[in-house]
Amino acid sequence: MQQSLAQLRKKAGAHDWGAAADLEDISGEVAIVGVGETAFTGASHRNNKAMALEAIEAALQDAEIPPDSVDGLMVSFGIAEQLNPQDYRDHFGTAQDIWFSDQGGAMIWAATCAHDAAMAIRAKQASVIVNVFAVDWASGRQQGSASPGDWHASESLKAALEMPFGWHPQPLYFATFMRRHMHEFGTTEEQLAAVPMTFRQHANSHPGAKLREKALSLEAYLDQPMIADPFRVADCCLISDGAGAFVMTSTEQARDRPKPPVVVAGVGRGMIEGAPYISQQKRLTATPQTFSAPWAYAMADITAKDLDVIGVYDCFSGTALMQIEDMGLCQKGAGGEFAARGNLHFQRTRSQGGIPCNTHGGLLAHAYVLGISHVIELVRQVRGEATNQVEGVEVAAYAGFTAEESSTLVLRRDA
Amino acid sequence: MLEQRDLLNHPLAGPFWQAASEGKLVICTCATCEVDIWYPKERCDHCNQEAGWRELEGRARLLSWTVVERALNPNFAVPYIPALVEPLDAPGVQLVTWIKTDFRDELVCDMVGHVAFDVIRTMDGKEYRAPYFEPASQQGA
Repeated sequence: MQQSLAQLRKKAGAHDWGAAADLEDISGEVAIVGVGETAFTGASHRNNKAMALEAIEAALQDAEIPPDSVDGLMVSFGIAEQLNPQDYRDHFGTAQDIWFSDQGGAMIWAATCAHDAAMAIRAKQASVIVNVFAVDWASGRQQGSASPGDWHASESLKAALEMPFGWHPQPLYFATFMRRHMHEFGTTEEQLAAVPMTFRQHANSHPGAKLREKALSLEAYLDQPMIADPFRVADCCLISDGAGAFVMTSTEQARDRPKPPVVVAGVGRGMIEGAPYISQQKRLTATPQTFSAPWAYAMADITAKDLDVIGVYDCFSGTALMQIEDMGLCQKGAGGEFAARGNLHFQRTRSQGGIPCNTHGGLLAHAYVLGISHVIELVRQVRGEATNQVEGVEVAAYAGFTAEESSTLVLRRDA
Repeated sequence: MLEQRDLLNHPLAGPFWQAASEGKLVICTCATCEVDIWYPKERCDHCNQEAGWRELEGRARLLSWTVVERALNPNFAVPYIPALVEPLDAPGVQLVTWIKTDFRDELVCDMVGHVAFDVIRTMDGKEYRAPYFEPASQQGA
């Protein structure tokens, strides 16, 4: 039965330093029926739109859906050059009307797009919706034309009150917060190392991961020079070229597809007070996942204990660690010790006290496609077709992140 | 993309930099509601009156910092130390500032220090007097 906003608010709880967005209960209404990706590379000079179309082709093939059946397209606004409906029609030689939203893509939107897709399907605006994200920041960095720090640098007050002191780009923000986490909770460098080391182990056995061939030992980690202490190279995400896409339909329609539907059970979105200025965040050692996860759990009618596998936006090791805590998977502040016990490894299942995390290697070791591959990996986990397959997956969750906002997407096997 | 506006004439942050040029630390505030407004806004969220500025005494608590060792930001020679501090007389306000590298081995979260002023150079090559945090180490903090 559908829960009201009041019921969701009550179950999710309130906080004094930020809040969850009022996302309507869409639990069970839509499912992911197809996923696709390009190869992930360094600077490749591949065109963003061409990569997006390649990922869509793969996703449609996976879903066994012909291109002319797609009547909805979701992309990211403002991050790189993204696809539009005319590009889609031109490429596939089709002529259909396409419902379009720029509130899709990756980061937090790789989760919230499922809510918006459900609302669009409910309103009969679309029935087969593709969410796609492409990025060419590896090429952009080589050419000096585009980089992840651009948005922050363009914001007027960050430019006036942060950049003059050199507090930019993002590694510095989260290094500052991680330093505080170490102070408040006693998190050590060796504990933090467990995050990139575990994700690297996953990448080492995942075809397509950029760092598949590169192992990471604790000694090698500690030998790396600091970038911005306490972060070393291995604590910071890769910069990549590549794209990912997934196809959503109503759950009912999804049951006609050849592969088992991966049902969207819950979606949450949270924002800090004072956004977009994370320098003003009142809990420096936490993330807005604190607000989005309880909302998504309430919608899905689960608790953190029900999750079998997670994909966490790991722009930095420390932001992954804090989000894992904020999702309620261990006590707040205990994330370092939790990770250092090997609990994020794909073979450490819930019954063994673990929570397999970023089983494809994440942004730290798979590729920096800003989270869309996290969702794709979770779909494969729920279907039982992942390379680093976790045993007995019923429920999965993606934790998306921008900095001032987080999102949570709960996926489950069809009942 | 990485152009720095003239800080002294910035529509919202200008008064902060003008005061800094005189060695004063100020923050945006609403005198009517007696609440600080940080980051600065044109008007108070509560009473909608024009916001003002107030001078702080210049003592602060170190919330956190990072020693930057790799030049991610082409204008800053490494190592350098950006920091986040909370003025003692403006609880809840979190100022981004910097710390001189001489102090790098003395830093501890929550230590108290004072704000001093020295010249920084921004992206466009302009120089400004800017507040920095100096630990009160001689007092055994």
